[in-house]
Formats: sequence, C-alpha cells, structure tokens
Amino acid sequence: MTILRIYRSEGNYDIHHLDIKPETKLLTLFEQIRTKIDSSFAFSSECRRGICGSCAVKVNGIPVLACKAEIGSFRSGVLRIEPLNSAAPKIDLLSDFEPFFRSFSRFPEFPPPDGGLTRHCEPSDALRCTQCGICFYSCPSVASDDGFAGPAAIVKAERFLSDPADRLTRPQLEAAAENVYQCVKCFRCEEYCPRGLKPEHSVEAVRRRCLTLPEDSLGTIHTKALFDSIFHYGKINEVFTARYIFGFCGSLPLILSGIPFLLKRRVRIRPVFSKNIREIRQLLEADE
Amino acid sequence: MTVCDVLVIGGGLAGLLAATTAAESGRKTVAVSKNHPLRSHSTAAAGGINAALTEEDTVLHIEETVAAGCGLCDRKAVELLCREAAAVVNRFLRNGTPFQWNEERNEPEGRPFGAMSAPRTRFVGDRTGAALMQTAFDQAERAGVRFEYSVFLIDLIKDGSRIAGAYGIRTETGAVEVFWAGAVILAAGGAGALFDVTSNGIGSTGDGAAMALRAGVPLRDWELIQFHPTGLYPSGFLISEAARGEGAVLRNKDMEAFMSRCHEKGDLAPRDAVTRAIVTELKCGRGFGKRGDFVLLDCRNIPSERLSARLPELCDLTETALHIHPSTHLIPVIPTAHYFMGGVACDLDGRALDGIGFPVPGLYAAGECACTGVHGANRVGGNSLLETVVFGARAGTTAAAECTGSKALSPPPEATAAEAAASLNERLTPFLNTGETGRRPAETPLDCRRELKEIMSAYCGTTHTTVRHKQGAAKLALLNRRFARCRLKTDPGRPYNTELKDFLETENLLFLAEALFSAAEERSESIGAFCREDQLYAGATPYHTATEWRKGRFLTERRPL
Repeated sequence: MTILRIYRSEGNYDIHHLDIKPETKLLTLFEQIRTKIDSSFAFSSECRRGICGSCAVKVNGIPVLACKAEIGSFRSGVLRIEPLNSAAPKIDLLSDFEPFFRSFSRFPEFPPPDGGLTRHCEPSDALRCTQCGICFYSCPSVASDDGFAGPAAIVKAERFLSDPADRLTRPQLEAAAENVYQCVKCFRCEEYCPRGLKPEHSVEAVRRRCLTLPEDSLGTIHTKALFDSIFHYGKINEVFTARYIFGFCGSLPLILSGIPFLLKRRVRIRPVFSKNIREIRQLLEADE
Repeated sequence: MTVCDVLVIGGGLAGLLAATTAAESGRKTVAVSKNHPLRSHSTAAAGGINAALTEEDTVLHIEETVAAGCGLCDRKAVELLCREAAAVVNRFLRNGTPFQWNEERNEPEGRPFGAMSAPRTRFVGDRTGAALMQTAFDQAERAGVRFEYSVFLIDLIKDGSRIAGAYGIRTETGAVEVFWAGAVILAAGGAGALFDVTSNGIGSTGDGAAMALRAGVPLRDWELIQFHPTGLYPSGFLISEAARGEGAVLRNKDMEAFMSRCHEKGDLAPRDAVTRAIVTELKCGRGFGKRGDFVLLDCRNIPSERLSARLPELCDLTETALHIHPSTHLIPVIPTAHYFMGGVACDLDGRALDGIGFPVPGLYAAGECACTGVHGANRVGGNSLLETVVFGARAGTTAAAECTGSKALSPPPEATAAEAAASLNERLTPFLNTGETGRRPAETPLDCRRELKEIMSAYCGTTHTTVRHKQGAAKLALLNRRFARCRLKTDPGRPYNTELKDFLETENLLFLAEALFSAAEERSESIGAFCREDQLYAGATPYHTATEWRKGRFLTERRPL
C-alpha cells in the first residue's frame, strides 16, 4: 500500500491510498488519478518517455521526471508530491516555467561573427538536455539570486566553448563570466539531472575560459584576487579579496554584511597566515 | 485581443521557421501554441534530416522520394524539397546546429535510412529534432517573434471569406483570447494521439486540422497514415529508423531476419513495406511473446561504443522502459502510428487550397498538418524534418508578402471578442456541470479518449477493410453519444483548467476520427501506407481524396492528381 499526498493548492493536499505495482511509473499513476478519481487534477506531460522534459515534479522534496521515476524506486511508502517550482506553485502539479525558459534563452545559438562557415561545432552532451528545469529549480544560487542564469543555461553556453567557429562571442562570454561565479558547487544539479549531465563540469570549463577575458573583467579579477590571497597568506583572506575585487570604497558597503561573520570569528581583521605558507608558495610558483 | 500581421498556429519546427521568415520580412508575428516550443513534438524527431549535397545525389533523392510515394507525390514539390535541402542544412550549421561531422569529406556525416540508396540523412546523435528546434527557437527569438505558448486555440475566425485570425483560451487566466491577423499560418502538427499505439506525444491531437475542417477547408488524403515499423512494445514509443540505419536487424519468432526475404532493400526498405512485412509475420503466427504480438529488433551487431555515441536516446529508452540494454538484449517492437501524410492541401508556397483548388484567402499551412504532396502515399524517413523546414519557411515568406499589414487591416469588429466568447459558451453549455444527475453516470473526456484510441487502432489501423470501417464508424457514433454525456467538473473559466483542455482535445479527436473513417472508406485500393485487405492492388490511376465537413456531415470525394 502506497500513500500519496499530492499538492493541490497552498496547504491543501489530496491523500490517496493506492495499491500499486512497484514498477509503475509515477506519470501512469497521475494519469490514472485523472481518469478514475479526479478529472480536474492538473499536471503537465507530453512525450511520456523522458525527452520533452514537461513532467518534472518533486517527490518527498527530490525532483524527478514523473515519466521515468518508478514508484518502487522511492524508499518511503509515503510519497509527498509537489510541483517542481514549489516556491511559486501555480495549481496542482503545474509549475511556472517562465523564469527557467527566460534564463535558458540567455545564451542563444549564434551565427559565427565572420558570417561564413569554415568550421563546425561538435555534437556534445549538452544537446541531451531536455530543458526539464530540474537543475534550475533545485539550485540554491538561483533561489537566492534573480540574476543567476542557472545550470542548464551554462551547460548550453559551454557547448560553444569547444566550437571552433568561436560562437561564444565576447559579450556572451562576459555575460557567462558574470554567472559562473555564482555557482556554489553544491552539485545538486548533477545529482538530480535525469539525463546524467554534468553542469558543474560546464561551470569549470566556462570559468577556465573566462581567464582569457581582459584583466578588468569580473571573472579575471576574482580569480586573481583568490590567487594573490593564497600566495600572500596561504589561505583565502576575505578582507583582502573583497578589497582587491571591489576596491577600498567599493568594499565599504560589504562591512555591514561582514559584521555577523566578524562576531562569529569567521572573518578576522588581522590577517592569519598559514603555517605552511612557504610550501604553498613553492607549489604555486611551480605550477605557474 | 491581439492584432498582428502574421499569426502562426503551432510552435513546432514548421511553425518556428514560418514565424522566423515572416518576422524577418518585417512583419509583426505572433506564434501561438498550447505548449512551449521546446516541448513540442518536433523535439521527438530522432533520426535526421535528409539532404543530398551533390547534384547527382539530389537527383537520386528526388527519384527515391517519388518512388517511395507510390505515385501520389507532387513531383514539383519533391524537386523543390530536395533541391533546397543542402541550403537548409548549411543554414542550420551556420546558426549553430552541431551536425555529426565527417572529417574526410569535410561535410556533415550522412547515415543510411530507409528507402535510400545513399547515406544522406544528416543527424545529431538521435536527437536531431531537438537540436534543430534549439537553433530554430533561438533564431525565432532573435527575429523578434512574439511567443504565446500557453494559449489553447479553439477555432479560426473569418472576416467574410478571409481567414482573419483565431480565438482560444489563455491557460493562466482561463479567459477567451482573440488573435486578429492579416494572415494565418497553420502549423499545428498531426493527430497521432488518435491511436492507442503511437509514437506521438499526448498533445498531438490534430487541433489545426480540426480547426481547418470546421472553417470549411477540406483535408486531402487524410486516411494516409504512416505506421512506423519500430515502436517499442507495448507503448509504441519511437525507436528511430536510425537503429536500422546503423545496422540493426528485425527478427521473428524463429530468429529469422525476415526483411531480407520480404524486400530487396532488406531492413532499410521503405517504411510501408517494413510495416506490412511485420504485420504479415504477426498474422502468420511468427510473432514473439505469449500472444505472438511483437517482433524483435536486434541491435547486438552494432558496436556498443557506436550505440552509445550515435543512439543514446535508444539506450535511454530501453533502459527506462524495459531495464534492458540494446547491446545485450533484443528489443520488442510493433508498428506504431507515426505520421499523417495528409492534411490541409496547399500549393508550393504554402497557400491552403479549398475543395476546387483555389487558395483560401488568408490561410497558409506547413508541416505535418499540411499536405504539400512531397510524401505521396508513404513518407521517406528523414523527409519530414526537411519538409517542415523548407515549406515552413516558404509559407512564412508567402504569408508575409501577401498579408494585409495590421495597420491597413480592417479593424476587427468590436463584436469579435464577444462573439468568440459566446460561441465557446454555446459549445460548452451542454457539458457544464449543472448538478443534476441523470440515470447514467457522466462520462469523463479521458475515458472517451481511451476508448476512441482502442476503436481507431482496431478498426482503422495498419490494415483496412470496408467491413471494419462500417463497424468502427458505428462504434464511433455510439462513442459520440457517450461523449455528449460528459460533464465538466470545473468551471470552464477557471485558470489552468486542464480538464477543459482534455475535453476540447478529445472533441477534436472524435471529429477527426469521423473524418478519417469517411476518407478511408473512399479509398478503395491499397496504396503506399494505406493497406486494404479486401483490395490489395493499387488502381490504375492514383487519386487524392478530399474530405470536407459540410452541413453537419463529412463528405469525401476523389480528386485527380
């Protein structure tokens, strides 16, 4: 016996007690509920085989594609089913995909700047992305920052990096550079991606490419600041890096948000040097 | 109310191309779809897009397409299609589609496909449709197309004899929305959801074709439906022809590779021939399984690296659906409803034609819901993507050139919006939940849809006979009566009312099913994908059928080519 708690509206869940075979797909179950129990139950689905990305929902807080997830794959016998975008749910299991699609369009495919085609773009894993939005809506950086394009868009942008026709043009690369540093490396996108894509790899690749940008771009300064900090102190010194990146005046507003960290002694005003600073410097010099 | 120059109905590949070209010619273009374009059924297209890159190969491509079409092709249309193919592929390449590359020849790699003598199907893994959609969508956005991707359109609006727009329901609000335009391009796809076993998504409900019928535009060759030979058993999910292109073989119960006996091209015969061979094998009791109702697709001779590099979707599908890997296990397959060759008849520039061959003012069509004559009675794999791109763009150009700009457009009568709402209201009134309970319990639209699918698969599926048509039509009439007892549980004006959408889609499907029976009965001989068991041989002169909705019933007539 499986117990389903399905989100219908704020604070209102439908509870179904059902006898289901463990290999039943979640989507089949939704369809049965819609046909047999409640014809007004709303969810979205299209291809039913995992290539259109319409049917992502959250089960006990974990995002899955309903057409691929089997009931038996969840350890719990009680399934709490919620829309993917549970921060701004619409109705029943429908999510608002507008923010996701808007962010996904931020790095559009582009004809190469020289106009003619001399070389070609390699097919890559990025094309296996189905735009299901799972990575976007499970990303903590997206949740906390409106400006962050999210993992799927960065995967798409990364595709152009390996493109010999240099399709990732300067303005696009700069836009990407502003985005990749917002990734906090929690790896949730990789964990949940129903296609097994690796957005973190893409973030790394774009970060590496950002170093080719001119010295005054945010990404380059950020990397330099971290490097210099480690070179001088043997560890990351927040006060030093903030001043390096934003300048003295620019970093003044940061003091306010820094105070709680100061009180908890996470940030120190007097620089702390690593004990092994000499070895660290040798390593860095050797690497350069 | 939205006023624009060009209204594109449908957000698939044909719709996107039409919208892009119309917007690039400076027209204010709105593309309306019931789902986001990147979720449309075009993204499910797997195998590739046919493009001959040399003159010799182009001639061959034309000949082979015409030959596979069994005499129903429009030769001019086929020539146009094949000659524009190379330019189309190059345009997509330039805009960013990463076709698999052949380093030696320095051109996109070709893959052998059914009914083709040379490998000319250009591909991106087995997600070609999705890759093309991505490029086309980015292009359309750059061209300035306005997307309305959560409006379910219900009917076309006429201004005198001109098609002047459409009205539908905006999902977020549940309100009636009117689009008033100088030209309307219909690119709403096929109606694969009519069948039980189908490769199409649940949204392929032929809304465009139903709208055209209700507006008095006939459908040409509506009975010609391609059944793809390899759908995954039992659901019918598509297993791309690319699998056989890469070397997979079909086997029956005795593990015999029966296609080599059935057709000179073996497993890469035209789709109608492969489907017919499979149906014959099953009929003769050489099918696999307890009930002997499927055959097997053997991919074991494809090296596993090649399999995972070139057919990742196939591996993914078998893995999720059956927990098997194609490199070690045989895949159970059955023929699955795949593509409607017929649709709104149109000329080479995408103008929709009425019953006597004159353009319908203001209406254009492209993609699966159109019938340009390139596929004849049997479509060649890889030609559908090509058709959407070539004829989608042409329809966009023509519509942009011929439409009255929205500024010069006679202003929409004030009453249009009110009329639209009233006519929808009138249509829904009998189905509203009034609280009274009749003697028998109310039906739900999804129950009716499920039954409809069963009827269509059983009585109008891979093979046809007059007797079965009669039985099927009678069952359909009964089902229509049951559908009349449907009651909507929710208020039609409710935001995000998916129940209403189910209802309207089912209504369209029932309507199209009736048209299908009428058209199928008129075609009295086997031709291409249409296989009649009571008349196996094609007649001397091929003909088109034209199905029209007139005075409350369907009328099908034969038309010379």
